[in-house]
Amino acid sequence: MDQFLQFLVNGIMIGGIYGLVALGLVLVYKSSRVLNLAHGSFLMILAWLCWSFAEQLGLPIWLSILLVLVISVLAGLGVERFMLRPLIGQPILAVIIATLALGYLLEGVAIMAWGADTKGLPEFIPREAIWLGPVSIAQHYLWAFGIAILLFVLLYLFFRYTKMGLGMQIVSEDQQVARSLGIRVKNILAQSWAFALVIAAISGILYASLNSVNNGNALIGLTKALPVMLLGGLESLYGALVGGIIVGVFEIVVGGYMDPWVGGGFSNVAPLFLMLVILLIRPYGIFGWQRIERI
Amino acid sequence: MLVMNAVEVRYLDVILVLRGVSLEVPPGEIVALLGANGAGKSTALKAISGLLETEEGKVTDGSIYFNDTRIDRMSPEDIVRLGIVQVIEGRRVIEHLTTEQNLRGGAYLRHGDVKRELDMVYSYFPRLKELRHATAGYLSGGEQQMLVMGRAMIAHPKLMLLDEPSMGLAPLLTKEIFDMIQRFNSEEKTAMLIVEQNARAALSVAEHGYVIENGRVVLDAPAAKLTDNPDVKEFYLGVGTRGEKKSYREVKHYRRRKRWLA
Amino acid sequence: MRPAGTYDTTYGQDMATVRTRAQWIMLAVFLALLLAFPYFGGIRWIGVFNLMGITLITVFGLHITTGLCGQINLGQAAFMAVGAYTSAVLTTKLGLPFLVALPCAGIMAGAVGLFFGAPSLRIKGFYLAMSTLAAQFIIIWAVTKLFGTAAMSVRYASIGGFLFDTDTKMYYLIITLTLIAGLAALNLTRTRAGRAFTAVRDNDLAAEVMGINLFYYKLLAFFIGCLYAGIAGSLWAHCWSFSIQPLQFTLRDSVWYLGMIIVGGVGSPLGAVLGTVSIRLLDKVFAPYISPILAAAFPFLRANVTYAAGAILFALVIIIFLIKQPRGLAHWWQLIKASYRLWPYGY
Repeated sequence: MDQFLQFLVNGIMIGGIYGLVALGLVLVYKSSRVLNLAHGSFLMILAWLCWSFAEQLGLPIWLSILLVLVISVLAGLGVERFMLRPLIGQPILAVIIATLALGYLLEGVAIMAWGADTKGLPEFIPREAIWLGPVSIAQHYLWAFGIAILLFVLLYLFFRYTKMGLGMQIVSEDQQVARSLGIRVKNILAQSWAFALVIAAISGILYASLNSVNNGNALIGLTKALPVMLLGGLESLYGALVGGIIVGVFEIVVGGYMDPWVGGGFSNVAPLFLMLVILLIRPYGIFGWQRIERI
Repeated sequence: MLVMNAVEVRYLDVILVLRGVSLEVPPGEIVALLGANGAGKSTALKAISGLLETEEGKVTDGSIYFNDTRIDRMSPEDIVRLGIVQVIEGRRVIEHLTTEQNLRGGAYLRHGDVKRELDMVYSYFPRLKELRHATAGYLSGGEQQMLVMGRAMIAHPKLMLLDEPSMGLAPLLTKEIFDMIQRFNSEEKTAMLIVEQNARAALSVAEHGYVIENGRVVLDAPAAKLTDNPDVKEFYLGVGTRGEKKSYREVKHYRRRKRWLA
Repeated sequence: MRPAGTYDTTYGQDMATVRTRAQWIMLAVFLALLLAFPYFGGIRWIGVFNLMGITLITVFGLHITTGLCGQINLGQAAFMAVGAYTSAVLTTKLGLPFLVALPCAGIMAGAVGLFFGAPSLRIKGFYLAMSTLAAQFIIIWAVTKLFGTAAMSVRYASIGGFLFDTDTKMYYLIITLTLIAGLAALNLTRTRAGRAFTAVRDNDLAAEVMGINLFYYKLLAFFIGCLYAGIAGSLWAHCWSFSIQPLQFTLRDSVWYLGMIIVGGVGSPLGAVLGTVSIRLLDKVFAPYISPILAAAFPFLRANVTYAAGAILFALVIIIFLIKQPRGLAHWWQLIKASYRLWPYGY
């Protein structure tokens, strides 16, 4: 029982991060109907940049993080302008392959710049565990979870109460109507990419501070965030959070109990099995929009 | 205020839809644009509002002026900023947002608090106030029509382009919508260009009417005169000048008359 | 665009793949060059050609699933792995002849493809991409669990006592199979199934209303595509006879295969050929030349520059093609052919 509780808590903590990663995917999908399969690679390379600033250039960690955030905004605007905008109107296959190719391009850059090493970010969040009865929570996990939740709340408020948020929601549903109301769709798309990459930077740095900076971090964009996004519903912000926690718990609990049976590493593919099941049963997710299709 | 000079529109650089349409909307007046399906009415509206751009269409000849500003090469976003708002055909509400969020979307370009504007819309459509927290996708057809019109009204446009406001609505609702159009026009002095299938309703509120066929304006006259025109009566108002009996010859006659008109 | 003055007078002529005498002659010359290649091409080039041939078979498969039928498959490399390991186990562990193992590898990969393609009835677009992406990771995970990450040694292929133990011998086996696979892919377009695939690709709901059994044809597309992948995988296993390992069949490879049909031109077998050949040439010929230059110019770059440069180069090529020429190399080829045939009256 204690073990189960421990798994549950670990799952929720890691699920918050997964939700945050998926949030970046949802933001872009919501506004532009593009599934950004390069999201994980951005997350990885932005974390590497943070490491470079902090360790190689010796900047204080907070300044490094700030610099990375600025870079992520610029990168978001650039990617939208030079890759996604020219692809508007092309079939889904084109967008999928383009983002995947972009992901490998970034990975190639990362290999060139940092090799295949594994590094640790400087410790900027305390790590000692807190004991809650029989369950221990590492403090940095708790911090990461808290930051994730905070971001979710901020984003919710942003969409609910700001004009830009309203514009994004209108653009996500009907671009023609949006333009007829005077909303500059191109700007909105660029802004949502910038937003998404800021979230990628934050989640990448948080994830790296929990584990390490490593080229393999790029994979969580595909193997964790995609199941989360699908489970929550492609367009839903809180779906990403709920889906993240479900996937996190599922992964830790199932992995924890199954690994002794099937050998280590099952927890890595467990979310993908979950994704296959969701695809078969309820492809629009828990909170997603059901789509009606007519000939 | 709005002047279209011999405007030619092509889709995909190939399909010629408007072949030289000229029309004029004076300040504060309602103008009706009548015509059969596929005549080019909606295209004319989209040419004005710039939304052609979203459908791979282009104004290839002629010009459109709005208060001496040439607008046929401007983007729809900039045209809206000049005060021209189009209500797109087919009640395109933002389905997953609430009524009030939809209206706030209409006031996207207004700065500061939009409370007053919201109240203004609610005074025209009290029903929307009751439904302001309802999800727009679940409103009825009439309510959705009110919503999209309110969404355009909230921006206080100088010129409103209405594309088939009565489509698929019951006669009673149609009347209500057109009453509202007239009231808004007389109170806010907003000029309007209305595209309609329901010629009778449109001519009842309009000062001036244009009939468009095959991408050309074939008739234009003050609304009252247009209502009396025997051709308009027969083709658009459905008042037969001849007897009940329809023979093949008359069908042919109809065809010939229409072609002559063009 | 046909050559001028060529008219069809019979149904047979209308359906013919090769129409004019000039085409027959060019085909014969091409085949002769292909057969004679090992006598003038260096050993390194034979290796490159073998890789190209194997890649071409798997890309033909992808052309059928994705290009013809429109079902996005992001797991083609994993299906190749299924074929490779099936073939390896059958020949090396169970001692079955290669001629048995080859079709078994294809059918096994096809069967696994059916399993992961089954969701395609309910989902499409992004969703299907996600499902096949899951297939990629799950299959490679399963392969790793079953056989480990270490290289697995495989026996040489042999047919009736003839041992394919050199690259040159393998070359003939591979080009034979590649030609057969290509011809089959080309002809598939003109069969009942091929027309059904195209209808499903263009609008699957409309296709269903026309009476096309969606479930059957979508699964058939997956089966045939993965069958090709399995056969390619089997050849792969026996070509680099010493070993196969899961690392050779990653998501990256799946993406590259899709990239090849995009660079070549989606939906045409010719595009598959052009895309595969040009990308493999780029990868095997230019990337090794570029990386030393890069390494010299930027001394701070880390190890593995060749690998990284290849990835960057290829990714850039794909993105640029998607933006600038989404119809691919095949479209250029058509333009060249048309202008040649219209010459000197270019209108």
